[in-house]
Amino acid sequence: MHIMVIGLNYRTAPVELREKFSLSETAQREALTYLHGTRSILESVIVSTCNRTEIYALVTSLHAGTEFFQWFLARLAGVDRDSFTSHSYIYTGSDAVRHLFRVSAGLDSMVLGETQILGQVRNSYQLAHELGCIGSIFHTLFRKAVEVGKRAHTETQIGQNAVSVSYAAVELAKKIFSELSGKTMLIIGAGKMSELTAKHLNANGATKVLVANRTYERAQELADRFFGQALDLGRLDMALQEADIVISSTGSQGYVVERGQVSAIMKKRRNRPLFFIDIAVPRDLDPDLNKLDNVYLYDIDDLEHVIAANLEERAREAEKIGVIIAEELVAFRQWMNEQEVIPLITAMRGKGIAIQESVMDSLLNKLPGLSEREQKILQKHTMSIVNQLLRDPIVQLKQMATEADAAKNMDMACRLFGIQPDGETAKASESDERAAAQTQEKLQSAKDRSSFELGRLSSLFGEACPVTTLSP
Amino acid sequence: MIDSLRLYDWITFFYAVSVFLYFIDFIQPSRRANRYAFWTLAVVWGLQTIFFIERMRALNYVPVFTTFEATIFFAWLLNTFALIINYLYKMELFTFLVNIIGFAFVAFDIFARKGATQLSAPMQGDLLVIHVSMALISYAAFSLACIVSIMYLFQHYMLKLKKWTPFFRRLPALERLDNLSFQMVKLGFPTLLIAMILGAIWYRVVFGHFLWLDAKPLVSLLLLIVYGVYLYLRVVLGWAGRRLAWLNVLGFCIVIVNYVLVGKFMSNFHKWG
Repeated sequence: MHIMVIGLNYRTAPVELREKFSLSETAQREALTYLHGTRSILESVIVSTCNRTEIYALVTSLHAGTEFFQWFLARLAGVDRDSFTSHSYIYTGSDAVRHLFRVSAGLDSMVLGETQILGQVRNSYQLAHELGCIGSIFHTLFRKAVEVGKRAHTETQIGQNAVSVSYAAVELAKKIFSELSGKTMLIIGAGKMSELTAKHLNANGATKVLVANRTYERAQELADRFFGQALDLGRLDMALQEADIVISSTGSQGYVVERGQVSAIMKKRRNRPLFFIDIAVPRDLDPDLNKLDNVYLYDIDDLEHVIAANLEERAREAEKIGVIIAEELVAFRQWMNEQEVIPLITAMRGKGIAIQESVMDSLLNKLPGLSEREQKILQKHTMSIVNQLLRDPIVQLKQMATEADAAKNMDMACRLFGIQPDGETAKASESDERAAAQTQEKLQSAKDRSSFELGRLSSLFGEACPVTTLSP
Repeated sequence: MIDSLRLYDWITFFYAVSVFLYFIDFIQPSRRANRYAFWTLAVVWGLQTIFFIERMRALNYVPVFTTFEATIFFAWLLNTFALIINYLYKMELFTFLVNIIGFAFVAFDIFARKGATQLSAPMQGDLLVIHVSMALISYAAFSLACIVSIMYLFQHYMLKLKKWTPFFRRLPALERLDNLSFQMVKLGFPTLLIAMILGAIWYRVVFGHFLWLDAKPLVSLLLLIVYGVYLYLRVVLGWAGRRLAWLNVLGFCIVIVNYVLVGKFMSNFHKWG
């Protein structure tokens, strides 16, 4: 069994290619159901957002899996295979796990440390779970991935500072005012950008809104959206006396607010701080305003600088998340090793039980006419011999699986007990069982979900699959 | 006595650990370091409290008459304020700065162990105890006002110069800092006034006349004037921000002069033992 991920993202593929791979939920359902039907793909999850499409899968053979998925994804998007492979990436084993952890922590996102992807990973996992594509391994893996994402956001401050202009304005406002609630906001010029910034400030508590605009109707329109008050540009001085936060974005060529004007107003304001945001190009507000005491002025460039500094800060926090990921990776690898032991233990127990059964048979043949009770006692005691003999080896095996040369030790154990001398077949038989069980389950669930459409994709894959071993 | 001094070593040790942890947290912000630092500081506060009570029981008076004792008390006051403010406002950086000052005082005491001697008999009395405690409380309040003002100024210049450093992110809002320094001066001013009045009355009772020409009351009067001006500008003229913050820093410089220089070299009467 191998874990692998194959996919493309905003780094490897241009948007015109990416959009072809962006799967709707319906398409994801169909694809998952199809994958579920193949014998060599034991578990699978599809993560598809506008910036990435990735398939995480547990496969019996990496080579065959790669071949299959390249063909599968190319068909899914309706592109030829070469153009897909040149824009995609494949990670296997630990690298695949690390990649998933990085994705869910937001380290692989276009905006470093964004939180949305965590929800998307969680939804992808839930969808796959609902369709029965998830077994014990991916169940643990994705739960861990979600946990890594949560830890990233609780233990570091990666997502806590603004990376958009309007949020940067809110961030600066919070550096000047301890509380935004009860503060008055003045919007000069009713542009789209100023409205967005005002919306964020408003959501953070600045509920009193004044709008001044060249055309009064437009001012009224915007003011109504915030349950605020519209006024003429002529009454700007009055408004400046009242306001705490001023957002300006008019189309004016000269300055709308001058230094002299504000310094006179500051006296009347009893020096209450005044926070100016100038989003207009060319600028609306006299840059010299910033030289006044208790007046803070930021233009669009300043806000961009704030964002740049915040991204640097996020990169620093990302290093801390790297440590968290390394920790969780070790923990997951240990858990995986323990899983490797389970089929071995099952085989050991099976062998023990088989021996006990054959011994019981020959005993019952040799001693006919035993009473029910005597038979029970014999059964119990012979079983007890087997259990006691196996108890220590099993405990030791579990221990050895977590140690360094786990693989060698497992082989040794197989040889000692004469069970499945090569681990691959043990796994294969186990996966066969699993696949069979899954098929059984699937049939059951397919009956339950009669609305399920298997038709479209199956017909899509009507022609022979290039990797014969992987035909459904 | 010996015990109390050994306890003092522990206080110093834990204080040093706390400062160290705050420093680590300051250089490389991490929630864990910060939590440990805060609790170590709380332990220091507990030890200081025990130390103080022990000493009070051993000596049968409120121990504020020697440099050593006064400094302990002063550090304890700073620590108390710091813990309360940190609890109310979650300002770790502030706690860190207060901590450094408190630790400086405690460490300063290690070199002044002689201070454990007692003062002469007439120096004792309830009135005097209240006088000294009040004076120290006002000094502590002014120290905090100064720290908060320095944070204000730093943040203010960062905002004006548009420098976005990681350090800047950890500072609380200007408005909050401004308010906090105002609260501290509001506490410090009346306590200093009361301390001066009580001191004058006590001196009059013991020696039969007022003490005018001692450096201590004169510098204290200057302090009162500076902080009085601060309150006037703030309340009556509605000033806020940068200039007032500088005034706070100036006031604190006078406090230091008053506490250290005047107490050590200049005053005839207000000499530390």
